[in-house]
Amino acid sequence: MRTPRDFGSRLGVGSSRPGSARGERFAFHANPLLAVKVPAWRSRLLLLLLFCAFLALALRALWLQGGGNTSFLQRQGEARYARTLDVPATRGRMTDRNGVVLAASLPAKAIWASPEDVDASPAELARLARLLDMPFAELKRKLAEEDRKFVYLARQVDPAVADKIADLKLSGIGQHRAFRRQYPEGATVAHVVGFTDVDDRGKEGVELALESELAAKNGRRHVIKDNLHRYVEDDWERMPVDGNDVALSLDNRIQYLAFTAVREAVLANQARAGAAIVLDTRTGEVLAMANWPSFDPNERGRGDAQAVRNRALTDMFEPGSTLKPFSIAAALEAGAVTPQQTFQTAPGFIKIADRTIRDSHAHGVLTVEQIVAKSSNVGTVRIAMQLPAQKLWDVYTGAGFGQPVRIGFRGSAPGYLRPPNTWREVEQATISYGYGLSVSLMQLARAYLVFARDGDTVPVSLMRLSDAPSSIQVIRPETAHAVRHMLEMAASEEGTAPQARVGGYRVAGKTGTARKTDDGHYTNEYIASFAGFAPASNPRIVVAVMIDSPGGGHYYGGEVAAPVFARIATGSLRTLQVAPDALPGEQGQVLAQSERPRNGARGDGL
Amino acid sequence: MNRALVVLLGVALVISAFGLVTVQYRTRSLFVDLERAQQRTAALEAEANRLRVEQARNAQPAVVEAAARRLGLKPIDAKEAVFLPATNPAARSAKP
Repeated sequence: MRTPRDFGSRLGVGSSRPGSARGERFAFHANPLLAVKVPAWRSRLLLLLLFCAFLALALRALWLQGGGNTSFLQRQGEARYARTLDVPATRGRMTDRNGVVLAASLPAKAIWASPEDVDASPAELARLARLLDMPFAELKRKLAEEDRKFVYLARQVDPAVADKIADLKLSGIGQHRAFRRQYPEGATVAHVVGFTDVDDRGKEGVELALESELAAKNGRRHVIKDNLHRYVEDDWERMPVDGNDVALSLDNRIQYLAFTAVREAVLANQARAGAAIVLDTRTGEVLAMANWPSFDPNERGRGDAQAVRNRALTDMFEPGSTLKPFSIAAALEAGAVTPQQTFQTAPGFIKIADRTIRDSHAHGVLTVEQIVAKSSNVGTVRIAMQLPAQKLWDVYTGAGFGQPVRIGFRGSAPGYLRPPNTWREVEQATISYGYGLSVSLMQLARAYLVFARDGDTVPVSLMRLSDAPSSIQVIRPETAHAVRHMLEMAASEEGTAPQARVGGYRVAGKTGTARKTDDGHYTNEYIASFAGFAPASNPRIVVAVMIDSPGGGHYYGGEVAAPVFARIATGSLRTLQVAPDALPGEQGQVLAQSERPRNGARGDGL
Repeated sequence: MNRALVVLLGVALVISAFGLVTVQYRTRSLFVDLERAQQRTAALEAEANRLRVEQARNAQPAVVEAAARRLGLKPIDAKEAVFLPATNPAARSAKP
């Protein structure tokens, strides 16, 4: 039996013998009384539970990564760091043949609003309206369309203005990138260049004709942003493709000359409209194509359809006397006449079937050359009636009458020339001096290439060409030279167009004065025209001028259109640095120097 | 032997992991630089385009003519031109 002392000593308390008690005491943590006897399964259970929890997490993670509904999560993730951006590409530039910019797209901003999110004070809106250059009431009206989520306030705003609008920090007003087409030459080349719509797509002129070439294809890419909103990775869905630059055949200096000459002639003669074309004889390139009335393609309003129409291409008119050289050429080509052969044109009229054809006044006996120079209807009819209709038609068609001008313009008039087997006798007579068929000014200019070149012709082109195109022979070179000489006479003191002369150069050309028709009846309005080329010794340019309905008392081509020709030719030849072929002081001798020896018939009947 | 290989591969793995992170970081910062440069290119191109248009606008024949008239200049008249005879055939053919 244990004594209480024993007990006490084992517990280390109640030490009656201090010395021995210290050695036997337990430390508190090792106190056997405190040792809890836990069953082992409890800790194992806990371990198992923890393991299960981890397993559940791992399974869940696996499920989210590769299980059923990953696309939703991927979308949600991407929405937080990925963006898809439209990358704008720039529409191609249009330049003239020397690289002067005629049209270019500059960055601009489109300003839009989300009406339901706009809560700006009237003062702020007034400031916005002022920046947009828009009446306050109109801005109010646009923002009043509450049910709409998106409305454009302005489409092509200058970037500087757009920055000021952004500085207003209005809620519900946003902007995105856009382009604005700029036309530095304005009204001068408006008809050729055309214009684009608000989406930068071609609407008129070359902008429309070469839309596929000029158009830009916007790109699209996916980007990943970091926490600083910088793009750190990208992936192109589609690369942006800028539009191609296009070089036109125009020379902006010659274009300006032609434009101002036409404009001033139209205004001075109180005419309705006018047009002029300058062609390069060597390549068929259009150096200038000018129209009046015109419009400013930079302006949104853009004038009416009358001003926008490219009359040089779309308007058809009866060519009148400008066609005569082709009838004469057909006769020369067929060997029916020679240039010096004489014809009696007195008494100034001729009856064909039931129709009387008149000259403006009786000329008497004329050589074939003089018939052209003096523009005798009677003489031309006498010559043309000797030929089968087919021969005339061949030359007209070869020169391009009745054949569309293929330069890609919409609405380019094909002209009108009936097949020869349908011509009645009187029609053959009237067609020979330019009535009963219709042409556009471009066709007329193109036709004169035949005389300006050596009887061959090339297609006209509005694009700058690197090589001269291949040509098609229409008449023999000798015939072309003979007609060229006649046309030089026509533009001399003894012809109908002395006002077409140009200082320093020999010129050749033919006037035309044709009555306009309205519903098949001739009116009292005229089209005054002139087609010619210079320098006559080695033609470099063809110039065709048309003035519609001159109302200032003068209406003859020689009075109205010929001075325009002279003005355009003078400037163009200098611009092109063509060597003069008639020096001042020798003007009177020019005719005597020409290629062909002449007989004494010159003075007859003048 | 096997133990040493495992340690070696473990070290290599850690090094390559660090390398991967570094390369990724550098790619991104270079990409940011590239992006900035491209934006600058676009801005400069737009500016060049704008200047070209402005140049064309200021060099319009109409503007030049108006300025010339202000200075009292006038178009050349053939009557006032002096033509020198070209005596040397080579010089004549060399003309444009």
